[in-house]
Amino acid sequence: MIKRLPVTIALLLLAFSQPAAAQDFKVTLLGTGAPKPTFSRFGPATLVEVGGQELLFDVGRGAAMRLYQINVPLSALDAVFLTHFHHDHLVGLPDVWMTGWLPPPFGRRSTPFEVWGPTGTAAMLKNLEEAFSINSSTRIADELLPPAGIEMVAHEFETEGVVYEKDGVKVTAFNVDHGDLIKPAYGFRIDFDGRSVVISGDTRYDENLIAAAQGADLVLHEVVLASDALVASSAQLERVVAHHSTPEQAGTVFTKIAPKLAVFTHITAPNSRTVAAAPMSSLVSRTRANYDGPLVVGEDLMSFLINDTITVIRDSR
Amino acid sequence: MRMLRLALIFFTLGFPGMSQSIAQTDTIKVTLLGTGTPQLNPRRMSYSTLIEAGGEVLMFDAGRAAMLQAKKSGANLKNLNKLFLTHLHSDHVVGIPDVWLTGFLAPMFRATPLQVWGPEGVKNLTAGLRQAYAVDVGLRVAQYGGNRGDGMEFNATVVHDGFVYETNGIKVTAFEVQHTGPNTSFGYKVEYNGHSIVLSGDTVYNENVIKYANGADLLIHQIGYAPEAAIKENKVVARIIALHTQPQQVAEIFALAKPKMAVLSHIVIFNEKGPDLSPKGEEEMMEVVRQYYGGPVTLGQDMMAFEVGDQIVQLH
Repeated sequence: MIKRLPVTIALLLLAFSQPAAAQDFKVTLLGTGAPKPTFSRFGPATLVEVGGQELLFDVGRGAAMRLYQINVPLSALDAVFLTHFHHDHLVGLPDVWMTGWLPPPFGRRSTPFEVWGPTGTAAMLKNLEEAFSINSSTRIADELLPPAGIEMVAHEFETEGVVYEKDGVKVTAFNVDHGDLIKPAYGFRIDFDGRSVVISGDTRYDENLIAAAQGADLVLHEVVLASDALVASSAQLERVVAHHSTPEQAGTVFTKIAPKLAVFTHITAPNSRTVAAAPMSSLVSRTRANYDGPLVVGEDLMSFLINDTITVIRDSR
Repeated sequence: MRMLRLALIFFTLGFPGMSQSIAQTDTIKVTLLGTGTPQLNPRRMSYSTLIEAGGEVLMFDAGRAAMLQAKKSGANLKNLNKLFLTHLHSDHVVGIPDVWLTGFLAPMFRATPLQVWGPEGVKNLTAGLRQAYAVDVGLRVAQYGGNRGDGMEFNATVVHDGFVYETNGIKVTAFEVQHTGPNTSFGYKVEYNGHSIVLSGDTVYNENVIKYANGADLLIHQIGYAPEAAIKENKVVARIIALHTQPQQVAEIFALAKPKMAVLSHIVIFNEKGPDLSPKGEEEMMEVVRQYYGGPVTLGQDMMAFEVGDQIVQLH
């Protein structure tokens, strides 16, 4: 069902799956897509396994299924982080939250589901609890599930800065620019043991991101791929493209950060009624106009092991 | 794929009166978008069924990946603006945010509210979701402008036993079944052009299913199976199986309702260790069903589709 895509990466090792060890720092792309419903790229979600903790960044379409595919129980998540409130980053949250409470081995969460996000997160979680209250009350009565396991706890932040710190793992939120209206919008930097990962969130070219990402080993960046003719063919598409980064802009960002590895995720390649989507091959070539360092086009379930060098695992199942 | 083709051959040879020729007009197309449960099983997404007739697209329950599967089905999703809920367990509703919010965007562009029918609590569900995703709704409305914002709204209606909906010749009737202790659950009957589809919803053995499915063209029934030893030894398994219809009971319902074709969807299987997602468990379950029911019955698979007219044709 999950189609294997052409290999587009520099390093390729045998896929393997094992529990996260205390010193491991592993990043897995659970979903590299956007709102468009397609099996080849699920909605935005990234798992960071670091210092023995399981951290999930955004919860797009299909995140629960992807976690299952790499043998990470939904109940093993220690913290969920949200970049912003666009629905493609959030529609998978009800599944991860509610299914993680059920009796099978992938579930059995008996403590609250904890979410870190911008101001507004608490209201969202409260409303989701309200929306799905009959599921909760019914399963408590019928299946005797522990009430604490279906509660949610919001950890809101109002401004950029360190939002999470535990056992040597530090998560810092920084403002990004997803357009004038779409605020709040954050990216995240995860630091552990002298190693670091940056997740751009949704953003157009942004100097603040470049500053926050200095010295990062791995940079995951969003991108929109559209030809000039395509953008010119639709006013709506022009607005969409203006909220994201072009390959050339991302290339400039990568050059200014100079990470050990730059990776594209949240890859949007729209089409309009009259003009086809740009070929994926043009993504790398256009990025190369401004960046000649290590670059990978992310695919769902691709993983990265962060050590002195970065190891790419093409399919983490 | 090969298994499906074999099933089709068996189907067409085994039951006279049905053939592969596809009637061109006035038929009902039924697609099993998800035939599973809350179990994280890539082979069986959680429960959802799409029914297309008379230019309308009706969705019954919206489980995990419902939007992905609906897109894959090739249905005209511009017209997907009606959702009927059997009950409010998570595996039947987790797909709603995606169907609702992504359905507003290109290329679907639903311009009218998503209408949702369901048991008591459905208004609470849609109001809660509308509030939970309020920031996204505000941003999209600002971005698209005009009256397009109507597409970001819900229009929810509580159903009771009886008539639910009728437009363009399609009639939907709800009937009460018994699933969870505290809350009401429903099955649905869809009628169009003299043909009918019945969905049991999640239920224990229930006379209402037999009554409403009597002579139906297609009866889509749920099933819960665990070997006796597993039910005896594992209390959690026993509790879950007790909420569903077991294979022998399903067979009895089929024998009494006599649908032209019986289809199993929402397939719950446990063994003594826990959830059993293996084809072997499914074979065991089907053996029990066939032992007690000799009529046409199909084990549903994700994306299996039927065209229902004077004949029933399994499309894939």
